[in-house]
Amino acid sequence: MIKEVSFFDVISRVTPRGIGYAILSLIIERDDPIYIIVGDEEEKEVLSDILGELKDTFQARKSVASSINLRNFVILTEEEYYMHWEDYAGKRLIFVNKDRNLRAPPLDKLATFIEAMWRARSRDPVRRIVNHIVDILLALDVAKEHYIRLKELLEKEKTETDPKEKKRLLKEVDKKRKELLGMLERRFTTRKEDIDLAYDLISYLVDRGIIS
Amino acid sequence: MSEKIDINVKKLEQRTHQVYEASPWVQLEDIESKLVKYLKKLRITPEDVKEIMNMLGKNSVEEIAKHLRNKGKPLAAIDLHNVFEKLREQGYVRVITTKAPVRVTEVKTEVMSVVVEAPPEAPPAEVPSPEEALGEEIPIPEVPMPEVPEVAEVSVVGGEMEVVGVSVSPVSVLSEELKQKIDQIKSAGIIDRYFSMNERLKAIAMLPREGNMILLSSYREDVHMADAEVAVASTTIINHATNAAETAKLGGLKELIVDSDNGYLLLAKLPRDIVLVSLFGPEATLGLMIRDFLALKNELSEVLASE
Repeated sequence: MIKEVSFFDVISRVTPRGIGYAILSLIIERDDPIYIIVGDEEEKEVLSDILGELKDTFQARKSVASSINLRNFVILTEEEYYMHWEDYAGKRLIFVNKDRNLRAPPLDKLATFIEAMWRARSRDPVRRIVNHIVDILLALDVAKEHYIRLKELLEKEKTETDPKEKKRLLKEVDKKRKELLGMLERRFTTRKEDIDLAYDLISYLVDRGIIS
Repeated sequence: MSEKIDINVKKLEQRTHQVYEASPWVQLEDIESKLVKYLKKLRITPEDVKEIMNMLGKNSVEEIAKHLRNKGKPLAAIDLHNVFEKLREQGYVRVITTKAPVRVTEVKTEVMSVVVEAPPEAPPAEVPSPEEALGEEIPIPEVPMPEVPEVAEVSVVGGEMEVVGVSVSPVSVLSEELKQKIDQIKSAGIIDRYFSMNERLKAIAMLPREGNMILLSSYREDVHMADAEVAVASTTIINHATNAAETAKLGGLKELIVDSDNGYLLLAKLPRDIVLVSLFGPEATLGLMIRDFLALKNELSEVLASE
């Protein structure tokens, strides 16, 4: 259990985007394990707590048939990494501090939520962040089938030359999109950022073949 | 302090082996147009940029630089690294991994650990100003040749260790800080990288302005620049050229190129009153040679000028 004071100090150094980048990497990267590089031991401890609890909580709550998997991870301080950088050649590296500016809509949304927890100085911020992300991840399993079908329709519509059939397919695409968004809205009610985040994640994971 | 120095050395060593990848959420055309803009000065064409884009995510900075250099583009690995870091700060790319470094095996590096002070009764030769030289005949003072100290340590990059000479008690005029900087440069493999990128590079040496010792030298084959005469001649040339540039109101001297039958000698001033000397073979491509020398000078200056 980490002291709340050091947690918020670390967030202010790593920034919500840095934390968000580490979490996002667990969800979307192909390589396993991933190597996460942070500034110092304090940052290592905080991130270990968050990511460890995220993995454990998701594992406990997800269904047996779920195709969503979080990557295994190793966290290194900069000193630990750079002193032996050649040993990590070829490994998937996540530089939390240097790459947190990455242009990525899902990262923007994750960071917004983490920042809200940070600014509000929430009690038990780690658990709140973890539960929030897990809720979104659980929704992805349900969203997956809808999105796969939507994608098939979009691809068919793109290559269709018959105007009548094209029009029919466009209607199907619209219907399927509404079904998907409706499902997400029911889960996340008024939290539009969460709906958008879930959509961003599922489209990324399916389009890249990370889940099928 | 020494741990901090070690990490900085390692960072210098690692940086051109990084593999950058475009963010999956940006338009590749945006990155392309930025690369065209940032690399225009180095004569990198839009077609070259398309090749760079194809290599992103798969090849390291060094590999991409080598590929472009093989096409005759005057580009040093550090130039590309700096551009990628700019894009990284803007969020267009990220580092995803590194490639293992390829060791240069045919380069020997020496770091002098012993310095002999110049005898007090023979002060360094005064360099006459151009007016004096033109005005009257000035007797050329005898330049005392300092003894070249025996090398106490030779390290061979990638090959077998060979110890030449004997250890002696050093009489050092070098500050501890400067010695650390020289060690950093050697450990980071900065100079080795330039040997691996440019086959025409024959030798590199760093010497203090007085020319009374060699701080660091690296050389191929039988070329040896750790020689007192070359040291004194190099620093004398630099001092003369500095005077000439100032007298002609050209400002501060940056670099010198000596073009001769058997090759090129390039010289430049570095921070901390150090002179950089490099020798290229006669078949060196001018553009690549100058680009590499300037890039090396900038990298060494970065280390020497840092805290």
